[in-house]
Amino acid sequence: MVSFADLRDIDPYVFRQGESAWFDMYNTIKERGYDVRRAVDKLEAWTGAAADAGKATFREHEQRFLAGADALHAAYLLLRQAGDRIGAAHARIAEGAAEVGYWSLTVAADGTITDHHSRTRYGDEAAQIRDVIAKYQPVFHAAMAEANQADAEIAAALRNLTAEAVGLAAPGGDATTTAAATAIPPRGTAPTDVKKWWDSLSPMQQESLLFTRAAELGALDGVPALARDRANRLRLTEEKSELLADQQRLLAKHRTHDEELWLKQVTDKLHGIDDIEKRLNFMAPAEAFLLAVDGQGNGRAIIASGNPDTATNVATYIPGTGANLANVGGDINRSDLMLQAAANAGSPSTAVITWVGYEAPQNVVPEAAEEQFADGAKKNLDRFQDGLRATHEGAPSHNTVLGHSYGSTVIGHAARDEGLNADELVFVGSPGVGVGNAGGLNFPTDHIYATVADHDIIHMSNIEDPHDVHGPDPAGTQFGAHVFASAPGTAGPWYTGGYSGAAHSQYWGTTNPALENMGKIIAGQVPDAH
Amino acid sequence: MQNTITISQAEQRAEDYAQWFLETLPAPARPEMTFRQNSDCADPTDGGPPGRVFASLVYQVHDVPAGEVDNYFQAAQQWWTSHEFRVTNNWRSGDRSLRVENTKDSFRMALTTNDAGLMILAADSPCVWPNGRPRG
Repeated sequence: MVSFADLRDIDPYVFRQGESAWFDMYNTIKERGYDVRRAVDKLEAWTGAAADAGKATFREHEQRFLAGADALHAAYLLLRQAGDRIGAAHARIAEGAAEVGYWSLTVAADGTITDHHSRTRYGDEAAQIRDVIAKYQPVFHAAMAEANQADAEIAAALRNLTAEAVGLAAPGGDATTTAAATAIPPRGTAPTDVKKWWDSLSPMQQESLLFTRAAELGALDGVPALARDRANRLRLTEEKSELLADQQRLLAKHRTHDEELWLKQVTDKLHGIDDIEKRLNFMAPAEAFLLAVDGQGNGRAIIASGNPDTATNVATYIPGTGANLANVGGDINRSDLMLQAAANAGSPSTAVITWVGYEAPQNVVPEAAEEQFADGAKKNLDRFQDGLRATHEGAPSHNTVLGHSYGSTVIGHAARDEGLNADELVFVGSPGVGVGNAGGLNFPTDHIYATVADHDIIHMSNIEDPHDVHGPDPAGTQFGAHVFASAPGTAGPWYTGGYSGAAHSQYWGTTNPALENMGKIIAGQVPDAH
Repeated sequence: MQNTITISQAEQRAEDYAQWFLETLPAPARPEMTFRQNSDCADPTDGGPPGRVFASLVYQVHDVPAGEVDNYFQAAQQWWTSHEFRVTNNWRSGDRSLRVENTKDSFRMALTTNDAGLMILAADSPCVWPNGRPRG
């Protein structure tokens, strides 16, 4: 039952959001049906009794997809109807709701208006209120009746769209339904256990889970990259739909200052999703795999350039301050540049993963000076690296974890506190990695590398101060890492001591020895010190 | 903020610089373009104006006879320094890493070899506005 307060406060755009999500699902399922049809059509040359039986089974699947699509389309139409009818009732009471609010009148759940202050109202005021009640009472009752009728009719129609009612329910004990009801290991489960669980499922169960539980599977370390990619591509479509609906809703209204900021954030995230989609649709310099995506907060994304389950050399790149879903395109570019640098060094096959799997600081002051972001990220990064080991096929890959700026601090905390599962650690333009020297990283010091450009402004954060929360520059002479060469970068003005922000971002030029050296390390070679 | 060349012009100029050099290589050197990309110029935190990009490209040069590598580097150094580029690293005869920058437009080029002896030519444009005009 819809109450007057429900009707008054409802945002009609929630129905538009719902509509849009169901329409996307309708399209996806319909396309799957057509995929099956096209696949069976190509089997023209396959004849005989087995062919007839096989084709009949596939035609049945096609019909089930198309029937399911029809049901989803029906849900979309019902939500559209709900939006229209309840939205109209909402609009009908808007003027009256403001008027009764002005006079401090009370409206019951069924729309009945009462004046609890009638004893204190005199003369013209009492007359005006009588007029208000006389004017709006029939409007409220009519609108409430329409809203409740629409609610009851649409709810009943939606209830009829069950899998059983539209003939899509699988028989009891069916592998797909059993799988859909299977408990998925929670996030935080050891990736080796996740991998064992995944391998214990039949292909049918895996397919069913990919389709019904994409959000959970896509985020689970220990699920192979191919499967995870498929789950996250579905998730990406959903995230995009939700953000587009938010954007449309915000664009259609008069916005407060906070809503303007929200609209900008939503638009920026959509830009990041566009960049991800472009990379996923482009096969150079290697096929890309979407290993995570999440639009919450600043947004997270993990994208592999190259297949990390089959590549000989696998690197995980952790960007620093300012990393988020909106800016992920630039970080993917850097991963592709490192992939090419490793290929130049002779790596037979490489995957470089852009890992925005943490809530990164979004400004230099004060956030980048705090440890909480690195501490919040360390377990996620540690488990992700364990997952790469668990799902890799054949001989273990040579794994590098490389961080830029605050990303290097994340690596330092993960190595120090969790024991990072990798072969090489690389720190680029680092503000410090949470330890006083390489020995504190719980990692073979022979395999720790660092570089900093002469003009990188990060030098200004690496002052010799025992209270420096991130510790000394890992490219400093006392730290104990192997320091590799980098171009000096663009010089800054005298009043910054010659340091510049530009030099903090120039490590990924194809002509910069820093990039060449990163490629060598990823390929398992020794970089040049000069 | 000043106008720049566009990113399309930057791509073309990087390609032209690479081609002018590659055409000087004697047979049997066989260049193959292996990478081409436009990248964001800056971190969100670098303090510079956001929105600029730079063009990069990489050629791998196959079939360079092992005994000729030094000659190729010598020729590259001579060609570049006579065509408005200056050497930016401490390259000396025998080194396998030569880096130069154009004195007029700041395009950078690098000629290197990897551990297996494969020769690599890389080019980067400076940071430019995608359409040549600062983002308003």
